[in-house]
Amino acid sequence: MLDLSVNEIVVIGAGQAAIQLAHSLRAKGYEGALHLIGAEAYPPYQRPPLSKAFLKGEMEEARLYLKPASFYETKNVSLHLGTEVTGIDRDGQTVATKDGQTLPYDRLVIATGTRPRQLPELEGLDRVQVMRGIDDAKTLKDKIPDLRHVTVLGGGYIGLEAAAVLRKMGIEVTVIERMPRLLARVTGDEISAYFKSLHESHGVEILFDAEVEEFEHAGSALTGIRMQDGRVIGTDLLLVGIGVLPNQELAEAAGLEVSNGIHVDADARTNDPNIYAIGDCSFRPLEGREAPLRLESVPNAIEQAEIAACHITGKPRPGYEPPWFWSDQYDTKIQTAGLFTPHTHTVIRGDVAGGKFAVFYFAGDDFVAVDAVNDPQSFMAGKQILKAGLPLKATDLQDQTVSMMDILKSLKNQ
Amino acid sequence: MTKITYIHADGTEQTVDAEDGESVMEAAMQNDIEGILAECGGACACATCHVYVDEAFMDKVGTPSDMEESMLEFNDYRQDNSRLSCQIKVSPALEGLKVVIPESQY
Ligand SMILES: Cc1cc2nc3c(=O)[nH]c(=O)nc-3n(C[C@H](O)[C@H](O)[C@H](O)COP(=O)(O)OP(=O)(O)OC[C@H]3O[C@@H](n4cnc5c(N)ncnc54)[C@H](O)[C@@H]3O)c2cc1C
Ligand code: FES
Repeated sequence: MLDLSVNEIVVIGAGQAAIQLAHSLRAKGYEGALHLIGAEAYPPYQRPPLSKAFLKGEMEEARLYLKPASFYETKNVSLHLGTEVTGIDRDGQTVATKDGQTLPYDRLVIATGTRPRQLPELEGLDRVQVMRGIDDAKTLKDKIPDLRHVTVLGGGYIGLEAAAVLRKMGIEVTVIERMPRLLARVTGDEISAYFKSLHESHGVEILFDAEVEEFEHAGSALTGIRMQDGRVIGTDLLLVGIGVLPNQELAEAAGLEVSNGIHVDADARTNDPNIYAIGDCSFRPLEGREAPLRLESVPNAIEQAEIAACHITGKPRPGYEPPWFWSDQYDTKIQTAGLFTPHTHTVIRGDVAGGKFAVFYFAGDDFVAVDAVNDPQSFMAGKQILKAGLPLKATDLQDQTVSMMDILKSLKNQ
Repeated sequence: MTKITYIHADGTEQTVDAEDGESVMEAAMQNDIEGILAECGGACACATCHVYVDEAFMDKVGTPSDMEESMLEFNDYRQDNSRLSCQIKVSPALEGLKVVIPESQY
């Protein structure tokens, strides 16, 4: 049942999770005041294209916006842009903004996302770029004509996507990776090896087990990177992609539980029953996993927004959705469903050399995740199997002449 | 500008002016059409932009790529006229296009 005493909902942050929440609250019949307060100057927008189509110049800025301007009017959503929230008063149930406003809330939703991790020694240096918002992508795009060589610090998805776009434009790219393989935090050895050869075949240089000794600069301009093995990489720009930090300081200052993200329960509620946290900034439980975790993806932001909207409006919690993600690099699309850690063994199906295959991860007898490279069948089947909790066994995958569709069907009929 | 009509599962219709070159999904986003979630923003990775294309336009919208075809194959609500709307580019040839949004997407 919709709690009629809830008439003021304030959302801190105006990104992917916030806009989905606004959409869902209205769709579920919430008619009270709804404020989205966002520090950025832009209305809620999608970030995935920033390191893909937008960086390539194939997508206009306006297409990044998740809702047309008319949405905010017709759905009566107050959008406060360029406005930073500076404090939460839990006793008084208000939030304070930098420009001096105080907004009361019955329910507060924290959707503040993350910010790129930065190295202290790079602070204040020019020719150093992170990739999180439209402004970052625009700055990088504007510099492209002057770039001959870019160094990407960190072999994660965002850095590799940018590397692919820049390399396609003829720019030399060196990736510095501290681990012995790419994407080590998010995928298994087989996929790491595939992306290594994909990037190398396009002429990207990748340094593994590589430690930076010093960032060299002339005045405030970065000029090169001296590695521990003595090599100096001369470069025009350093793109830093070494992970993100959750924007949890407001929550922490207000006495909410935080660690790697803001702690929430299965209904996206913090330890204050009037406050929720959703999207990249939340540390959440996930069905079938003992320990909570923080996920960084659009589907996670959407799912949690939906969960919070259901709880606020008194609707039943939506069913389990396995985490999933995608990435585009050159002509390769990877789609992943489930979480690959922890796993004990893998089964590979398809043609690795031909660039169309999938890695299925098992923890003991349990199927836990699939990474599908240019192989939407394996992704879709794997995602549905995880969602329904069907008992896929490694042996079911052995015979490659049996299609994923037939495997899915026979599991459903078991 | 090309006129496109989105028919909701409950039968209500919304006609919009779509820009040539954008996708049928993007035109839906720009006009806040319910039922087209477009989780992946047009990357052909999510299949939440599924629509049924009016039979009269099946030839004009072209045929799905292998990638799109595979995504559709696993959709329980698949019909012969199913398409992912992010993979249909708006052009003057599509003037008057009608697409139906599957009931499962609300
Ligand atoms: C370059 C890039 C590529 C990506 N590619 C993919 C992809 O291919 N697939 C995928 O699934 N995911 C991808 N992601 C991740 C995805 O974009 C995020 O998971 C998603 O945006 C999370 O949504 P959110 O609402 O939690 O956070 P955000 O979208 O980051 O929104 C949070 C907002 O809160 C604002 N904010 C923070 N603190 C305050 C404050 N105190 N007051 C007011 N406002 C505040 C921030 O400025 C920000 O605008 C990508 C991310 C990036 C950066
Ligand atoms: S928007 Fe995701 S497949 Fe069309």
